[in-house]
Order: sequence, then structure tokens, then C-alpha cells
Amino acid sequence: MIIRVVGISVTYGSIKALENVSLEVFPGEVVSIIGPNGSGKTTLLKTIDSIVKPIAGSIYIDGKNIYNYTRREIAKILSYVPQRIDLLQNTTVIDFVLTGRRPYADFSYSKVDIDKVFEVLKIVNAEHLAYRKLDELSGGELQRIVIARALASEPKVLLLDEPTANLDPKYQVEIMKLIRRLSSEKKVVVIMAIHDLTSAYRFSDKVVMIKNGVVVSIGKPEDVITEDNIWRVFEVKTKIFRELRTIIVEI
Amino acid sequence: MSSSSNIFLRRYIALAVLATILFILIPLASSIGLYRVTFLDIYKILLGYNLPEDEFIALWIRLRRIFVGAIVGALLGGAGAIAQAVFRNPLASPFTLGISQAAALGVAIALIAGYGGTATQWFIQFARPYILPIAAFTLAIIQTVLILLLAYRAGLTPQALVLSSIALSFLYQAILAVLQYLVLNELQIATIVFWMFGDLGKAGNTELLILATTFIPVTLAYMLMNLDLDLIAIGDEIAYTSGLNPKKFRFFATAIAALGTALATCFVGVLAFLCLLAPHIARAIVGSSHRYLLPASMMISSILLIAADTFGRTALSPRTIPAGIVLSFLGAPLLIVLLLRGSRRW
Repeated sequence: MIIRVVGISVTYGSIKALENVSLEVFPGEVVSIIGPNGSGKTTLLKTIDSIVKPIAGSIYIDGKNIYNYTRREIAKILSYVPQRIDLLQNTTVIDFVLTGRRPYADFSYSKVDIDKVFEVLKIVNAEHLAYRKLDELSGGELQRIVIARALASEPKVLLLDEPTANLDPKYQVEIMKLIRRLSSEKKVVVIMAIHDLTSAYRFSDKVVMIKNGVVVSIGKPEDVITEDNIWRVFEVKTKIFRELRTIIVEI
Repeated sequence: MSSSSNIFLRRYIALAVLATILFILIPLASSIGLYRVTFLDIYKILLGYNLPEDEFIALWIRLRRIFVGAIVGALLGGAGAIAQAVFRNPLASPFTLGISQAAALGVAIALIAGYGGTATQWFIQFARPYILPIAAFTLAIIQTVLILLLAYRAGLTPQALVLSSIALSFLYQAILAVLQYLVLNELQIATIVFWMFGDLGKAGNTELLILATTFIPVTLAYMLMNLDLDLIAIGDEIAYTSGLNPKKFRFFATAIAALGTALATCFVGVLAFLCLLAPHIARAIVGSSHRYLLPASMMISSILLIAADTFGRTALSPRTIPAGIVLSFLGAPLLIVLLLRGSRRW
């Protein structure tokens, strides 16, 4: 599945959120969008999922304009995982993940849907959590469940908004490895907004660096994540240890 | 996979237990009362005995209250579960959102306009019982639009939304009070006052018939929304990405809930707390999947209402306390417990 974002511009009222952003993503790629707070990362993800409508430009999935798809068709291709999800009282994991099958169900969920739920729970190593309540889960477990829900609609493209925010280092690595595995084993395209430069450097095939809604640099991680670019976009001095694939902020 | 069928099986069993309790309540509640007539007398009729007319009437009046209670309870219990899902708010219900009070005002206005006779508009003539649900629904839908405007335009938080809805419901009560002062005679005032405390005894045969015929399509509409209610309860964005238009659906679902509430309210009056409590109890039993939550909430609400009515009928016998008052005594402390317990999670 090839996704082409062609010259999209988005405004919120009089504020420009994205300006003439173009991007091409190929099957199995993991793409990281990096940039300061308010630079337009989330807006870009939402525009790709056509939650936000651009004032200019278009998005093509395998050559077909996304606005020619019905919402239900899009739901089977793209899955968006927001930064945070409101927890509901007494929601069981299995019920929550089942809602991801909505694009395939009309009145009720079938045996096939339930089997699919267990399949995706297995992918994220969370089968044992199936009957737990959402509000009893740890941060890392919850994030895995939220990703499982997104996978339940069998998407070709996974859009993740800061999947590792609020997670401790152990869970951060776990989630990033899971994302890598999804792309290599399931050939799922992953496009994610991310703050952690080291994770972006280590785990992505392509990095998009944006500032104030404009793409500053795009390409392979080692070409985009450079000390100069980081200074231009984040205005912080950094030291990159290429052999360790680590970025350290200097004080 | 056996454990997955277990969890769903458990829910079906819970629903079956609730249904059994509801069905046991029919002979039980109809056998309790001042008049010495029991459900067993029905078998006498079936076996060909002729029951004395007064006994038959006493039994039928009790049974009618129970049927009305079952239907009205179900309508309100479902409406409450829907309101909590679409507003993603544990305090949302037709009662706390002012929809019940709006419906009651609609009934009052209709009663003043067409009291004791028929209402004629052009060539359409409404007999009194039929105009009541229409009037109740009109005001209920106005309140629905107001709530949604408050939620969308003013971007109110869930708490602020409930508070402003309560403010609006006070406004409806004030309008009702003005009507009572200026327009109504003593008899009409008495009628309206009784309307503020829901009472199952108010519904007669025609009313039961209207309730019974409208109950089926409304329940069907409730149940058809179950998957989308699950979605919208998670969040608007998630709902949208899964193929649901949240704003359209929220209006549609609230309108259906308002219809159920209007039907329930127009024949028995405002029943406090029922539509708020039942979904919470149901959620604790069957979880938050609406496929199970909706029927559970409906049945629990019916059970609570019939129990409250039977208690009100018998506790201070021969005086009858309206079920609405009994429910307030039960609901107020339960709501406070709920808030104390829930403050951690919501």
C-alpha cells in the first residue's frame, strides 16, 4: 500500500497548522514525524486519516484519492491511535478491542470477530489480559491494548500519535519493538508522531521533521536527525553518537 | 476460546436471571395489596370460575400498574444507558439532563390546552391520551437540541453540561409554577402537582395500550444502536475513524432516548433517578458492552420501578405513596454513594 501526501495545507481558523506538506510512504515502512510541540505532527496524522480536511492538496492511497473512499472503507485501511483514550468504567479489554471490528459488523459481532480479537491480542502479547478491566491495566499494557484495537480492523496503515508518551523506558522499548515487528511481519505501514529522537533514529525507515507546519527535512533517519537540523527545529544543542544510535541533549 | 464464550455466556445468564426476577415480580407484586385477591385468582378465571367483578377489577388495576411499570422502567433504563454513552458522562440521564422535566412541562401545557376534551388542529382531532406523548416529545426534543447546543457550541465539560441541564430543568419547573399560579384551577393544579411525582396509577387502559405498542419499535431502535454506542463511548475521534459520524449519531441517539423518555413521562410523570441508577447497576453486572448493557439496564429499571411502586402501595397502606417519591428516597443516597465511589475513576 503506497500512500502519497501531496501538498496538503491545513488551517484552524486563521492559524496555519500545515503548509504544503508532501510525503510518500511505501509498504512495510515505519515513518516517524518529529518536531516541537504544536508543530503539526498530530494534525498531519489526522489529515492522513481524513479526520481533518485540508484546504489544499490531496492524499492518495494506491493512487486513489482518499476522499473518494467511504468512511467505512477508510476505516478498513487506516487505523488511528490517539494520544489518550478516555477510560470507561467496567470496560473489559475484549469488549474494547471488539469495537475495532465495527467496520466489518452490522448489528452484532460474530465468532469471526471474536477470533480476530484474540489474534490481535496475541500479536501484542496481551492474550492474558482479555478479561481484565481497562482501568486495571498498567500504562504499557493499556498502550498495547489500544494498538490491538487499532489492529482489529486489519488496517494496512497504522497511525500512532506519540505511542510511547507517558511510558517508562522498558515499555517504550517494548512498544517500539512491537511497531517494528508489525511492519516487518504484517507489512503494516506505520506512521507515528514521536518526541523521543533516539527512538525515531533507531526504529524508523524514514523521518519527517516539521516546524510550524512546514517540512524542514525528510529522508533516512541518519540524514534527517543531524545536530544542525535539531538545532534549527528544536533550538537545542545535541550530541549524536552514531555508533550507539543515541541522541543526547547538551545543557 | 472456551473462556471467551464463558464471558459472553455469563452475561447471557445474568440477563436470564434478570428476566426471571422480572417475571417472578408479576405474580408476586400483583398478589400484594389491600384487597384480598392474588395472582392465583387468574388461574381460577382460566379454569372457568367467575371472579366477582370487584375482585377482578382490583386484580386488573394491580396488573396494569405492573405492566406500565415494566414498560416505563424499560424505556427509562434504556434511555439512561444511551445518555451515559453518548455524553460519555456517568451523570447523564434523561432526568439529570432535564429531558424528563421538559416532557412533563409538555404534558402540562397539553393538559391545559385540551383538558377534559379533544384538541383540534385543522382537520386533525386528537383524543386526549394521544396528544400527551406528542406534546411531551416536542418539549423533550427541544431540550435535547438545547443540551447538544450547550455541549457543542459552548464546549462545556461533562460536569458543566449536567449542571446547566439541571438549571434548565429548574426553568421548566418555574414555567410550570407560573402556569399553576396564573392559569390553572384547583383541579388542574392537583393534576400537575401529581405529575411532578411519577405515579404508575395514572396510566389507564388506553395509556397502557399506547405504551405497549410504542415500546416495541423504541426498544428495537435502542438495540439497533448497540455497536455505535460502544464506539461513541470511547471517544468522538475513535468513533469517526471507525466509520461513525459522532455528531449525527449523538443527535439521533439522544432523540431516540428523548422519545423513550417522553413516552414514559407523559403517562406516569417524572420518575427521579431511575434512568440514572439502572445503567450503573447494569454496568456493574454485565460490563459496558451495550449489547448486554442495554437490556440489563432496561430490566433492572423495570424491576426497581415495580418494586418501588409495590412498596409505595403497601408500606403505608391504605395510603399510596407514588413510586416517584419512593425512588427519590432510594435514589438520592445511592447517587451520593456513586459519586463518592466514582470520584476516583471518572
